[in-house]
Amino acid sequence: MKWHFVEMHCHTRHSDGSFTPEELVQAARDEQLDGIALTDHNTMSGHKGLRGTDFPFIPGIEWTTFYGHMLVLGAREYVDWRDATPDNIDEKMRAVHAAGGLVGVAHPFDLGSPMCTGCYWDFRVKDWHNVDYIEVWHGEFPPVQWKVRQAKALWVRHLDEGCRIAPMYGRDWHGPSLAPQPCAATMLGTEGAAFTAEGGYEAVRRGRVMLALGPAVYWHGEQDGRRFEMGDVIRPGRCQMVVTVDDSVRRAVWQKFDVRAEEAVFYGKGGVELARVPVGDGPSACAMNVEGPYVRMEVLGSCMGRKCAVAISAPVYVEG
Amino acid sequence: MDQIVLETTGQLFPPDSATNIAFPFELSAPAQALRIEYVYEPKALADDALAERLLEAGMEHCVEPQDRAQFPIHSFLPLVNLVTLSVDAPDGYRGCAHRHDPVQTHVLRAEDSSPGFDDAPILAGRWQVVINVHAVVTSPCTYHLKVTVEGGEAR
Repeated sequence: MKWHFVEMHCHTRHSDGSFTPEELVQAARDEQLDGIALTDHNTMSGHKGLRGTDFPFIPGIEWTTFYGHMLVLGAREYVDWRDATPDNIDEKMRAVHAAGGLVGVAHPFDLGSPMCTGCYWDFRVKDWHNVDYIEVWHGEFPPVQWKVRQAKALWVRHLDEGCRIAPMYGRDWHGPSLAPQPCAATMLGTEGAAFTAEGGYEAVRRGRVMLALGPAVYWHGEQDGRRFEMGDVIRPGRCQMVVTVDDSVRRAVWQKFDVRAEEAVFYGKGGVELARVPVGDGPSACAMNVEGPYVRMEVLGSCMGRKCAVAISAPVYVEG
Repeated sequence: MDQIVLETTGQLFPPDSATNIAFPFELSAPAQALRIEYVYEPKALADDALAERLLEAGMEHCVEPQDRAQFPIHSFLPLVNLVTLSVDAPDGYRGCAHRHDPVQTHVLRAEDSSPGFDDAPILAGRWQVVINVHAVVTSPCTYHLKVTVEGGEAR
């Protein structure tokens, strides 16, 4: 598994961003990112500008509806956002899937109308299996924002119900920041060595996703001699987990915000804490018993002196 | 030769929020470009007392009481209208200009279309400009929309 650092929520002048597509690519390179998802509001016309660069991007669109913002990645055909209503959103999500797209809930607890029209998620989703990911982290300095508590609770509630939903970080990048704040990156795990749109899409679909505020965080496990990754399905029972923090990756980007990783905490259904292990130099291992429907992990630490989560993993799913 | 194929003006009111209004028109022949001139006004609600009441209601809907102190109501003033514009060609969606400027001009053509719109031929057939009424907070909000076929027919 090769891990890539990606910004999954970006805008350009094709909607209300100030970046040209080329400037967005340069900004992403400056932040040592391996790729981006271009998710302009209600348009895909910026994709062409990015195809003129050699920077990999996942083609997307942010459905900027009256009842919530929904990210669509990798759809082969356009699905109309304009007739989405609070009660037909499941049908619209199924139409996106039929077009080959992935469905992400953008910033569900952002301020909505009239402060920011449609930014708050008012859609009444009937079946959360239709959702591929939720922006658990959003915007600048994401782990300390007011909306994290609710976004995480929404995500965990549906994991508890047995849905398979990846967490996502979306910076919602609209242009250069005058007073830079700590921003995370979404780490996507792929089979191929180089980041590609197809590889990134597949990583989201399979839930090979880690949100990292600073140092890179890697997690894998072993059960009955077999290695597993985030997004995989394992059996209930005993397994071994290994967490590795690598603070050499993208260090120039986050070091000025003094991001520190201290311990990894594993959670199961209902917020039950399964294990806690310090992280530091080299891999940290621990054993635990897991049961359905999932086990997930957060790395706790600090940033600019504030205690906070510095990484959030996608779940490993557990049968039964 | 330039030809106006659609020109319309109208008024929107707060209950029109969260609706789309379609303005269809026919092109009898392919063309070089389509120019869309679009204006709405006012942008901002002048009545701050009303704005504050609307903001209070919005906050109540989407922010839990313990979090509200970090969002002073006055920081969201003035409250503004947001009415965007999207376009459908005979062969499907051409894009949207999702931005806050209430005075917009867009040119759609095979190459070098305005940001937000795909580069594709201006086909003969049924087109529509759709006004996406995200939020109207003023009574009324007046819009004016004009669509011109540019450069004559490209037969």
